[in-house]
Amino acid sequence: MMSWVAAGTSPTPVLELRGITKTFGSMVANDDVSLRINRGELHAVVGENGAGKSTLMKIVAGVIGADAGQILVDGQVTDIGSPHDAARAGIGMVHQHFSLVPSLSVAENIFLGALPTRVGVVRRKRMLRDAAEMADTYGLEIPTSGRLGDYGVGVQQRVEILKALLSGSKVLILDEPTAVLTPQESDHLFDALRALRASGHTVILITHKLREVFAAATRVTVMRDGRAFEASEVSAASESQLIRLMVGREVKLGRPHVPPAKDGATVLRIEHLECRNNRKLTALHDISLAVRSGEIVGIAGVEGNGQEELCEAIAGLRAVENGKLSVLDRDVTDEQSATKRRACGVTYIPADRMLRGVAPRASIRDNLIMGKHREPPIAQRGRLQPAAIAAMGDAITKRFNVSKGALGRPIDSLSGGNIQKIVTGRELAARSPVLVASNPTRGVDIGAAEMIHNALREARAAGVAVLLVSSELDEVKSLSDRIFVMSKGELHGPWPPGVSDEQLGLAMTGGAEPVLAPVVGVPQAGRS
Amino acid sequence: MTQELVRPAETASESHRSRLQSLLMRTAAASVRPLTAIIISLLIFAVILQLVGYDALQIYKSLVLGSVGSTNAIGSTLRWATPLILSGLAVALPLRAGLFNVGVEGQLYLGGFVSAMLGLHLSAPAFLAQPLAIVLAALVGALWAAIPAALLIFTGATEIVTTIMLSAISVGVVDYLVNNHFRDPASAAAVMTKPVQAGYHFPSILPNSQVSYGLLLAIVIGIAMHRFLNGTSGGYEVRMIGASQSFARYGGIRVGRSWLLVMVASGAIAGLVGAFETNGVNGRFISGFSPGYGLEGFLVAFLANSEPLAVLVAGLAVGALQAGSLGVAIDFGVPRTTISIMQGLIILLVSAQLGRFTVLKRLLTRRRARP
Repeated sequence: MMSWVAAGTSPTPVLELRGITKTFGSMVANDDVSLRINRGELHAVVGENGAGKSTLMKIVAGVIGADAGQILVDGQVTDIGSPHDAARAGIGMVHQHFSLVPSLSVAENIFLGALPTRVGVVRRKRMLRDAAEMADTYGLEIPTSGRLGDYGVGVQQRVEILKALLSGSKVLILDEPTAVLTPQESDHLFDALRALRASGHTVILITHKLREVFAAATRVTVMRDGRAFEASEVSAASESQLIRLMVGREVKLGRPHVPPAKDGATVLRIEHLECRNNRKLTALHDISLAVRSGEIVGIAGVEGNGQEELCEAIAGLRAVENGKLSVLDRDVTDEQSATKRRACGVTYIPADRMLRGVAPRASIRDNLIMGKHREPPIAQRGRLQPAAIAAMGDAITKRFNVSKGALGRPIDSLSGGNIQKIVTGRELAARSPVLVASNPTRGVDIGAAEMIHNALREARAAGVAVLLVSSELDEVKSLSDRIFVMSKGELHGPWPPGVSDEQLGLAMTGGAEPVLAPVVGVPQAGRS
Repeated sequence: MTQELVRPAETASESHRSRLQSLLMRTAAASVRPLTAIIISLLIFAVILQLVGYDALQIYKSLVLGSVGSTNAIGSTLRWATPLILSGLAVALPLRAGLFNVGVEGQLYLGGFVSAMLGLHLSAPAFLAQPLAIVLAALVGALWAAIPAALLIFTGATEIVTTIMLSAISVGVVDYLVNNHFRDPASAAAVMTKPVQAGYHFPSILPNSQVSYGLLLAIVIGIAMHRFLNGTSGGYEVRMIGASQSFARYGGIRVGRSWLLVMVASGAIAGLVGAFETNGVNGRFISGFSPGYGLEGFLVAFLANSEPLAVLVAGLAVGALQAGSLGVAIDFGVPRTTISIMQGLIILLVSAQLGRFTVLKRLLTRRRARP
């Protein structure tokens, strides 16, 4: 464990929050939160999803306004009403979703909004030189040529950070920065953050991964249910103590892996599969994989390396260019629609639950019956059966401990965790031989994640062939019987569950230099 | 969305009486939104009238008298309500699946033309003639609406554009045919056909009025549409496509099939508007007989948030405004077109209330795109 002496701690904190309160309707996102950030520290703000940490930081960055409370910058009460105000006060934020222009060059993106010009003409050389200089100073390596869109998220993130630094940020807020990075890229990032501290910057790191707190932070504040606990020195904190504060009870995550009881028959077989992404670029190269009954096969990897395309190809939502898919020894390659694949025995928990997993504004009831709305007992001769739908709602809400409430309410009135529990319950209720789960616990609280993990284990015990795709290494390692890594549309592996993070991380980058490698066919959101 | 207000909860054990009651309750619940929007816009409109120099109170008194003040007034309201409800339903159904049928105007024009042609050239007894005219008008409307649906499904051509274009084509072709081949030689200024044979003429169901049984048919279609959307698997699929297309595809719904279904049904309902206006109200095909029911269908559907039961109420309310404004125009010399200011206000209010600016934006774009 590394530790540092908090450098240059001054009596006046660089940033102080006093009694910040923010409500959304009846939900209290921040409840009288006070926080002191000292100059030059790397302050981690941890908490479960929905604990209010992102809301708090958005208030500091001027993205949203607080209902009550004060923000003090260098001891002065500062009114931060917009991101512009925040920038003037020296506060910059790197959001989870970048605001960059993929078609512009890397340097142009960094200088966007402050292009160096001489009589209206952009001084391109100077821009390139300055960009390279800045990147060098903080160890934030960036490519000097090419369009930003050709590079991976790691580069894009560094560009975002440089952009914030260029606008004069002394306090840099990073919201879950490692969610999109390989373990090696994460290490690079933390090195850069250390360099930033050394040059007098202050860093606030929002995260839910405790490992990162201990790897990089100097002080840590835990948030739960909109409240913040007293900050403590990382060196004086323990993991179990932080978890207890975050969750409010003891949690055993990452249970030791239990091998499957027996070797089942192969249920899902993928042979030499090739697919294109939404931009018609090849996203999957020659993927072969078999999943047996009663096992969980995990696919790790940084997002955007073809995992979505693989899941969609199996679920029937994406055309197969080449290769063969079989379920229970039956060739289903030509059954190319979600309807047919479902009938063949494939269910799918999609990664993007608000886009694909549910219709956000439709009622919980409507979301529950999707896929079964034409079959008895939900429908008889084309007519929906309210009694059967109510019974199904009861069963799923009871099993997953979702507050039942009115099934007629829009599903987006539930928390992300509860929505995901409903999606999981719905897909498992189909009792299909194949389950594809893509990032099933992303953005959900620890309690819900635990429940979803248990549901996947139960499905395995019941003989389901489970394919788990996740960008969370811990999740893949604790659930899977065999682990593959996906990188640039290729599948590497398998490894046993005990494989080291370093080994998987190396496979994620294909063993190549991670920094400047352009990503082939970065998938883009769009109508499919 | 107020969808939750009108959930189906009926079970087979419920008596007919309580089913009727629950239907009425749902209709009442669904009426809140359109009626509120209309009342608020009436208030705003009053201020505008006052500012321009009219006596708003007097005008509104005349508006009320002209719409519900007498048997004749009520007849007038119901007469206007019939095509408005039908057009509203024709627009609302595709909207529930996320589609904009901007071609209702052309579809109803074709329906009117076909029913007039039958009425002019095919002798048949009334009990056969009228159903025949209705079915054929619906069929032609349905076919015309199936084209943009097919274009959308197979080529991805956005239905907003194709329905507008096909609408312009059908209106032009029908006007040409009527003017050059089927024009009543006795007609002077108006381009119109001869009156249809007596057997084709839809009788009035209220004395001294032009209200045909098209009104009853409109109500039946509205209730059936409500039942379909909320109580059947097919209706569920339509609603889910409208709620989230990606979710619907993920769940295995055949989106194209549902799109075709709603567009065909929408076109058929639009065709009915033409049949009842032509063979009912006018007794003959008159070029330009529709004052823009296609667009007013959007007004009604938006007001009703595309809930079929609410469409019935909204259509009735807009029909009352229409009927009342006739009297106002005569009594006060307020141009009838001012009523479109009022309709604009209503749309604004409904859109603002929902915060559904995308819908408003698409509507405005569509208006501008019209020749």
